[in-house]
Amino acid sequence: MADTTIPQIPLAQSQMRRVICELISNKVTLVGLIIIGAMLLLALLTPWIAPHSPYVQNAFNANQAPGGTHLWGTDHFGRDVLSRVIWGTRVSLLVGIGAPLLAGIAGTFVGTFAGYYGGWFDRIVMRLVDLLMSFPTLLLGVMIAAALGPGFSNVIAALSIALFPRFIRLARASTLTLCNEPYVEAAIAAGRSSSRVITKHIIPNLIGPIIVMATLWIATAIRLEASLSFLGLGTQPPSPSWGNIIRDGMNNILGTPYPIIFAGLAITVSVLAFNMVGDALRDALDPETQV
Amino acid sequence: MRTSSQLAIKLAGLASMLAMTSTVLAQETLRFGMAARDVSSLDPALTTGNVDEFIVRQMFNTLVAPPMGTLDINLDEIEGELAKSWEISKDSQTWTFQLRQGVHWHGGYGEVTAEDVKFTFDRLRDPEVGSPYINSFEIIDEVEIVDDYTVTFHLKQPSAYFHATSLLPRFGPYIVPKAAVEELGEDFRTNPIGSGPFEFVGYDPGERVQTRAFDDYFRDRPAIDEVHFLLVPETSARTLAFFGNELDIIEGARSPGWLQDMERQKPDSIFDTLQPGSIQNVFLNMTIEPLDDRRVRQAIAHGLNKEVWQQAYGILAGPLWGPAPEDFYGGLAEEDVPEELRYDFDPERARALLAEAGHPDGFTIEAFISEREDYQSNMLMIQDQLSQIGININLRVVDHTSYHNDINEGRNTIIPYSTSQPPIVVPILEAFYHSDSIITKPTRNRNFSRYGDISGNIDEALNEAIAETDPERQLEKFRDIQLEIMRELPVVPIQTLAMFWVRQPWVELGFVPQAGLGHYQLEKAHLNR
Repeated sequence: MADTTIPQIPLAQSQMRRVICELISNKVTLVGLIIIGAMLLLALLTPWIAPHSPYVQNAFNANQAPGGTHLWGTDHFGRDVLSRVIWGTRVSLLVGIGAPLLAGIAGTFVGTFAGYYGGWFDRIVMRLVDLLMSFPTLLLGVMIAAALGPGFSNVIAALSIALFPRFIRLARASTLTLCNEPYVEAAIAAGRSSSRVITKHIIPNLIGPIIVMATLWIATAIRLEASLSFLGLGTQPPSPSWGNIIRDGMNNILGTPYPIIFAGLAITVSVLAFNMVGDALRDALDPETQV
Repeated sequence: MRTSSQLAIKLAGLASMLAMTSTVLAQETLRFGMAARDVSSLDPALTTGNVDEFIVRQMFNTLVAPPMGTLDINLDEIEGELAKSWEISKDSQTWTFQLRQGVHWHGGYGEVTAEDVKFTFDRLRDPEVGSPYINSFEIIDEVEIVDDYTVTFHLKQPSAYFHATSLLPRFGPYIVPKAAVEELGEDFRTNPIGSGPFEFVGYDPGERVQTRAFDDYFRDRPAIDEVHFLLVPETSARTLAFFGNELDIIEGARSPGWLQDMERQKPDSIFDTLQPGSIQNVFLNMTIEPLDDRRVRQAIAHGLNKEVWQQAYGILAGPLWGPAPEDFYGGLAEEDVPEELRYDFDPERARALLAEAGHPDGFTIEAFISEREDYQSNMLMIQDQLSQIGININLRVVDHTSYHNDINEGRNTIIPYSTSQPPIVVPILEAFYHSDSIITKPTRNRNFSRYGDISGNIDEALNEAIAETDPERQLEKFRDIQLEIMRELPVVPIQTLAMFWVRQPWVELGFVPQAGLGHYQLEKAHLNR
């Protein structure tokens, strides 16, 4: 039997081009994209861009105001704040992108299977999802991070688990809708195997909303990582992350607020950028907002 | 008629309110910002932290105390509080104290008598009471009431410094009223009755402890009418309240740079530092490779630059040349320590020692540290400096309680430890270096390095030094013991870190704080607003 007769509606190349054009044409979104691009560059080229080591202390040069060789000043151990914030970018982006990505991949598969097959598997999964979603994400993240113990990889795991149920719910809801689409019914009627229907016809069509959701959750994941590190459950000292830079600076907030100001600024700008791009992506991909 | 009488009542009410307000305004209230979430006990036998101790100091008295603001513990310098005079037998095994007459308890519980003194020390030695300071009073064999105002301590063995280990105002030996403790039972923890300059008024859990001047205090009544101890654990909140003049004195944050920032931000602040404060050491677990090699321990000592601590903590940092600081009876001063046992900062020598021990490229070791500011700061400074001689510490941060639980189980490798001790070398040597104190033994105390079973032993020498009756020879023996420890190096002394408080320019303490046991008295304080 020929397998080219049934049309597929994934993100076609023309649609991709339209989305990109739409993103670039909006100035606000463009600014967001530029910021994200700059952050990605910083994260990739950290060792070459950071002017100093983020770890080396110098008690004789502690709590310096911005200027001279330390453009953003130094912290209470005399470490260069700019270098620590740049190294923190790497951590924040890894967690910010890594956690929603892992949660998105796992959640899409589980949600799709639950929606497609239904039955007891769907019921169990959805009750678990209800249970997990009854907790605020930060609280869930704190509980899981506390159970796993502090550390960078554990934060990614904790946040992935905390975000996981949201992707399951979205994937399941989209699958239920897609199952009633004529092309999916046609594929099933044509005798396509379940795995083929899921991978060729369902997942490609729900990937748009999943990407939008993942983009929006990147901002939240960056914020959550900062919160967990601030609470001491995230990145462990002396490794810098924006959250623990703020935590370290708390005692000297009045005399030497620079670490807190610059790390706080980094969090604000990055969260804003991902939210702007996420919103624009949602508008571009959501057919209902198309006029 | 009715209207005019109502008006008269209202006016009378208003007048009385104004009178009350003016009385309130006339009162002198000192607002003290403490760095704690809550107090755990105001019963002196059961205090757990420095905040409890500070408040207790204002409400209770001991038999004797060093002169205000000092840590002078020589017998000819200490002053009587509840004791008027004292006599010590020739063999230093019997200590007799004459009490002052006419000293009153707060709350109408009568006069302080020898019975209260006996009750206090019997209670401290009773395991059922559960005082964490029970070890300090083990030396007492019996407390005898000679008459209403005379009490005799019979010791199990001679001790020329019994007053320093067991009677000074710190961790336990405040005299409590028998009648009140028996009447209040458990409630005594939060309804303390003492004989001190301030009497307890109220306690709001997590908020404040309120005290007021005790009119019948046996010395001069304090000039300040009320002292409110406000519990403000967040350093930034405490600092802001101080900047806004909402607090008159605050407990300082012992974190690098905080004091220097305060000096810059509020130059008229007065800093009161009490040396030696905490003794800060790094113990090395000698059961773990490669810390079992003395050359590696020497390399660690040579790799740490004490000047960094001096720079980071400024006037709070004091020198520490061995197990006990020089201000302590029997402690080590710089001139007591031969040059090779000072382990001056010398990274080249450190690297050479590591190479000699078979680690030319250094090594990596796992360790964990408490999240508490002073512990974590010290460990990060150690980690940074040791990385420069090739020793990488893979660090994990844990909460403070877990840290203590885990080091007491012998799980850590490099163990920063901060301790506050009576100003005498004996309890330090017994707790941290005696082989019975090794943390894996049933008789354990805080010997984290396992010194005594591994790499040397001072048990015999310590017993001899304690039994020595000639003070000069005794001091020499204490010094020799500490030098022996420094030779084997189960510990790298870092610094003493002073307790400190910041006060507004209008607060006068009435004395100059120089040294102390983690608190000072407010009985002579007054406000010049």
